[in-house]
Amino acid sequence: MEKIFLEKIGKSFLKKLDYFGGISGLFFYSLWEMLTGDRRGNRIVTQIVKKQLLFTGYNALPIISIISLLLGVVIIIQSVTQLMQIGAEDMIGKILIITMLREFGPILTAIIIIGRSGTAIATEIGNMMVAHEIEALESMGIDTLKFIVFPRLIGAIVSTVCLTIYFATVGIIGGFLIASFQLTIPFSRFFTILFSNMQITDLIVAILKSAVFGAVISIVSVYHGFKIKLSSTEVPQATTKAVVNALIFVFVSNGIITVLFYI
Amino acid sequence: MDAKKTIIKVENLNFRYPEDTNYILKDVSLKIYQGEFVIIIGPRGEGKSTFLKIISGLILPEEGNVFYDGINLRGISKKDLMKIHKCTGFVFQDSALISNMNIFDNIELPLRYHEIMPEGEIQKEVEKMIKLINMENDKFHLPAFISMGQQKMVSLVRALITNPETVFYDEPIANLDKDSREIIVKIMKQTKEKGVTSVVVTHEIEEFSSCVDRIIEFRNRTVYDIRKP
Repeated sequence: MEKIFLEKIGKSFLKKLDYFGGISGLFFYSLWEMLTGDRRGNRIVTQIVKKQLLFTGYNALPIISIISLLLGVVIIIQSVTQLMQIGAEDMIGKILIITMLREFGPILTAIIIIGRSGTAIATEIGNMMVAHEIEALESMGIDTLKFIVFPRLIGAIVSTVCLTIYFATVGIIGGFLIASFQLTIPFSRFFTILFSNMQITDLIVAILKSAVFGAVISIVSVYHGFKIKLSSTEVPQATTKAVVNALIFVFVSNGIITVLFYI
Repeated sequence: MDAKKTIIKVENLNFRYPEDTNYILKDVSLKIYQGEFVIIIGPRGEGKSTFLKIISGLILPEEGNVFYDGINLRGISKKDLMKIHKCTGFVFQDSALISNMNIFDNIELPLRYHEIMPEGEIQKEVEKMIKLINMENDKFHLPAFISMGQQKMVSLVRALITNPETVFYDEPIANLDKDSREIIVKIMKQTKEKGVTSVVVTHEIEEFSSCVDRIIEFRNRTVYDIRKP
């Protein structure tokens, strides 16, 4: 009985190890290939990177704007009204930096990107596997790490970083402008408080977090897409796994980075 | 024929898919010579398509040896494998065109990726290929909007546009209309005449009777017979 139990734990551990190995291998090999591989094909790969930036970054602007603006309004109204009652309105800057820039900005942007682009990446690659399109690329001597993985990786990293900064900016400025109908605190005072509480570490952490999230989302989605073998019924299952695992990775890495920088 | 250079050499090849306990290929040994037009026949499920993918380097062998132009595909480096893929072409049974690229982009993809020729020449070369398959009016359509026969023709010219030294064809004319079959067979014959090695998995031997050099028959998951037509 004990033996079976230990065997199960061992197998599960090996499976997890294999999964982590696969994910990290995919990440490092694609970077390595791009840095050391054949320069030919770079022009067409650059075009794919641009398409990824357009889809993952630019096309996500409307949804990011709405969510950040509404969240900004709620946080500003809630915190300013409460803090003013106890005469601690100077704290508003700190609260906004923590919520919009350090924590909610990167996390919510990552969740939106998982929903929009992570699913799209896993589905697209899964369908390409089923239709033998990946095999066809290989048969033409096209490196799939360079042609498929790298553009999605770079597209997701750059987009997540830019969208996170955009999220925080729109959330704070736009949120204040809308909330100013309800508030008595002047614009100049609001920004003096905000910037006096902002440190360069906050910006670095936001950029670092979003870069890690972008990398995690793209690699996990690509990995699950590539895992599909023959049947199109595997595609939705792989997409679900990609979403769930990307969320777990994002929250875990968020926790790790926060602990590393602020404790 | 023996004086010709061996381009593909297979020695005691056994193969099974990782998820399968049964071997799909058992003790396969054969040679294919440069410039030959070889047809592989046999009942369905005998591993012919798998064999084609193994000798083309799309699936790597684990038991036995497969040499392409003297390079052993077993344990081959990625760099060497890419080199082999670059000088070979593969026509897939289900065409395998890139679904989000139009016909023109599909055909020019290998040329543009490998940057074999300047942009202007690529354009001309692709136009020439499109004309060859009479698809001038469909060149900006996505693969989903053209017929199966047209998809197969696009897949064929995409494989040929880099002037490969060997082309692997997996059921190139199966389930196609008469016109598409005629165009495909004509292009395949012209390709053979240029000295390109052709390995064809097909059930329609009679269509290639005028150009076939040898017929390899698979039965019981191994080479049953090798004969001249």
